[in-house]
Amino acid sequence: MPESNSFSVGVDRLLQAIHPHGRPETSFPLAMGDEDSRRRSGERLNPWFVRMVDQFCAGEPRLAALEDNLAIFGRFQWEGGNRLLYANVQAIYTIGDLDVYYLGAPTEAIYLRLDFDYRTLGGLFSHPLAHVHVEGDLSPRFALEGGDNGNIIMDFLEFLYRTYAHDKWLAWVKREWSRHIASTRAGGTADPLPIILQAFESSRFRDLRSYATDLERIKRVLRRRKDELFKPRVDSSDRVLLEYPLAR
Amino acid sequence: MTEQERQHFDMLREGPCASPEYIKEFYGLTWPQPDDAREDFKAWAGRLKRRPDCPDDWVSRYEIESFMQQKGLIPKKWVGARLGMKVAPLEKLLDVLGEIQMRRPRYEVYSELMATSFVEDLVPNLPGLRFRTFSDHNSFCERLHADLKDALGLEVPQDEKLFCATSTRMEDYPRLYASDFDCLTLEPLSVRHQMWLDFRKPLNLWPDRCSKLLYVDAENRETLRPFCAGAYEPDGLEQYTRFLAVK
Repeated sequence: MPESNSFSVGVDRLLQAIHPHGRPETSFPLAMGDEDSRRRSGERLNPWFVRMVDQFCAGEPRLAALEDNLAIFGRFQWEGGNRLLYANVQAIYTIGDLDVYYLGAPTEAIYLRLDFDYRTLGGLFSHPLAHVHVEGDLSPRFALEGGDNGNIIMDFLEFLYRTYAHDKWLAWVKREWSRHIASTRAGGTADPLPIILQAFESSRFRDLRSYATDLERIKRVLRRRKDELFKPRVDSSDRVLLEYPLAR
Repeated sequence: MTEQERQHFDMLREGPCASPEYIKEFYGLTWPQPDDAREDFKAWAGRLKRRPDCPDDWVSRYEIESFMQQKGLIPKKWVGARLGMKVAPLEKLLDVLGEIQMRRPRYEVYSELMATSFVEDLVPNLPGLRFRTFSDHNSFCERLHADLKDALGLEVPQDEKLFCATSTRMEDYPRLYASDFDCLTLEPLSVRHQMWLDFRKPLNLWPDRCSKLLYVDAENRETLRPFCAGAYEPDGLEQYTRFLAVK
């Protein structure tokens, strides 16, 4: 039995906390209001984080910490049980411990915000569904990876782990892939993952080309697993409607 | 809840500090720690910027869990649960680990703590478990115990298998193996019969769990409802209510 089902124990617990289970709204931490939780115009990152922790976590940064250096605050609205209508997920990553950052140490920190909101569409094709800000409202809006898949919460969490906790994400990949090949392997075929990992680490792109089919399989296995772990999602056709420029 | 369970509940909701008796019973860890781990824990905890002020010989269970997570460790008692057995047969397994080309010192980091990688490494080293997937924890434990007997001649006696106390009480067939422990009763607990509680424990630490049967029993539900993880009750509590009604 692994330590966690997803990328980490923190993500497991977060998913449990925000799952709608028939509720129209969920938040993490609990009872977090929209107005109070948003980063105000001109509000610097450290004071915002301290305010959030004091207001919603009783002064304890670890109540919002997926990892020692990665915290999250999210609000969600749901319809019909499992359809996501609105998401505002703010993440902060610190170089060093969140406790130290909370105490005011001059530590580098990065802020990311996932927005999924039908009520703020902006100008023509200016607000992809969903998008990520890297600072306040004035920063560019980068379309969330994952194409037209509706599982934007898992994709955003995976993005955070792939970027900021790569070891844990990779452990999850290895675990899910080994589980997959254990159940499907025939005739003792060699596992391609170790070779693929080596090719990545030594930047041998030409080798990767010859493993294109295996890479596709790995991606499909991980996609399926993520979709099993958290079923609520957005209407993927809405994502396609606002997708620009065309990718296909 | 019994008097003791009530004490555990009061202690957990109060904050991170826990008595040495609780640490021993829940984690299977002696407190103060044995010599081999004491200095390492002390050095690790000494680097923390914010520490709770625990009374007397009590200790922060959050710190213990953080230490274990950061060092990639889990208590032997919990390793046993992941393998469907108590600590005694686990110790016997460790004695013969060399026969399947696994080095005991690599996994037994301290006398009461093991590397989390142990269980994952054990599976591919047992011929009958290699390249297999398991539908659930029960099928894993059954197969594991059979393979330990075949490959190592190690029999896990029936009374040293770790079964879920709720499953035993409800007379499930087949009886479910435990994989965790109830933080209130301290009894072994299976995935099916558990629910998560939230005592405002740091998000990245293991969730606290209790039995759904304990939850619905008498006045417990009112007491525990505010502490349900995610602030909602889990589905399927009716079967526990029905079970108690006919008992």
